[in-house]
Amino acid sequence: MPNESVDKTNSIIRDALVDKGYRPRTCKDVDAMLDSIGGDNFDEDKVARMLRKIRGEEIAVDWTESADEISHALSAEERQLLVFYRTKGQEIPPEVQAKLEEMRRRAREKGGTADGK
Amino acid sequence: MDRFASEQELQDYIALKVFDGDESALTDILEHYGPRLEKWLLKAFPGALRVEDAEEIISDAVRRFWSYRKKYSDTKASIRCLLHVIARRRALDVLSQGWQRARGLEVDVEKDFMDWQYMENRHVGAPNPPDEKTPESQERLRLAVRETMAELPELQRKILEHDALAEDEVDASELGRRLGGIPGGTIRTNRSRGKDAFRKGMKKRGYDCQ
Repeated sequence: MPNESVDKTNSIIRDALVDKGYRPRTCKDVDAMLDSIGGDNFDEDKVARMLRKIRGEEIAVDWTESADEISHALSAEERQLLVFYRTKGQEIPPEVQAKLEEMRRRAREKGGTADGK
Repeated sequence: MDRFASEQELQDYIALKVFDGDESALTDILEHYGPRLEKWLLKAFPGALRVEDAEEIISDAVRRFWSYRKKYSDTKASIRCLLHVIARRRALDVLSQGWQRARGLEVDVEKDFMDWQYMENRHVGAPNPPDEKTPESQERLRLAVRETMAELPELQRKILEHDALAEDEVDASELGRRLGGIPGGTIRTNRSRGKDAFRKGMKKRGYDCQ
C-alpha cells in the first residue's frame, strides 16, 4: 500500500534534486527536452557494443559483476539459447530466465561478490 | 543524418525502417537518440546512475522497443518518446530493485506508457492541473530541502536521495551494496533516522512533511 508520507517526502526531495525540465510529462515535453539536451555522440565501439547487447550477443552484466565470472558460468549451448530468443525479438521464457539468474547467482558466489546480504 | 532537412524527416525515416523490420534502424536509433537519452538519464537520476548504467538501460530499452515494434503506432507517440518512457521505467526498476531483479521483470510497454501519461492525474488531452505554488514559493521550498538535506549525516542523505530518485524505498540490501557494502539493517536504521531528521529540519523551516 502506498505510503503518502513517504511519497510526499520523496516527491519534494526529488523536486529539489532534479530540474522540472528533466521530468517531462507529455510526449511533446519529451520531444522538446530531447531536442534541446544535446549529448556527446556515441563512438563506433560503444554503438557496436550496445548493438551486441540488444541482439543478445553480449550479455549485459551488473556493474558489480565480473564479465569473466558470467562467461564462465554459461556454456556455449546456453549462450546460443539466449541469443536465439533475443535475436528473435522474443521475451526470454521464464525457465531460461530462471536458469540465467541461477547461473548469475552461482557466478557471484564463486567470485565472492554476494550482494551484501 | 545531415542529409535530413528536419528532425521530423529523420524520425519518419527511422519509423519507416522500424515498420519494415529493418534492423539497421537499431543503429540509427542508437546513434541519433542514444546520446540524448543518456544525457537525460544522468540529469534525471543524478548521482544514482552512472554512464555504464545508462548504457545498459538504453540498450535494454531499445531491445524491448524492438520486441514491441509490431504494435507500435507513430500516431500515439514518437519512437524517442516511447524509448524515454521505457528507459525511465527501467531506470526506476534498476534503482529500486537492482539489476538482478529488474532484468527478471516483465515490461508492458503500453501499460508503462499509460501509467506515465496518467501520473499526477495528467493525461494527454487533459488540462494541466492548476499549480498551487508560485515559482518563488517553489524555489523557497527547494532551498529549504537542500539546506535540510545538507544538515543530515552523509549516509542518511544518500539513502533519502536514492529513495527519492527511485520514487520508492529502495531495497535495503540492494542500496547497501550500491553504497559500498553497507548491511541492509544499517540502511534501514539510517533511513528511519534520516526521515525523522528531515521532517524535523523541514518543520523548523516552516514546512510540514508528515
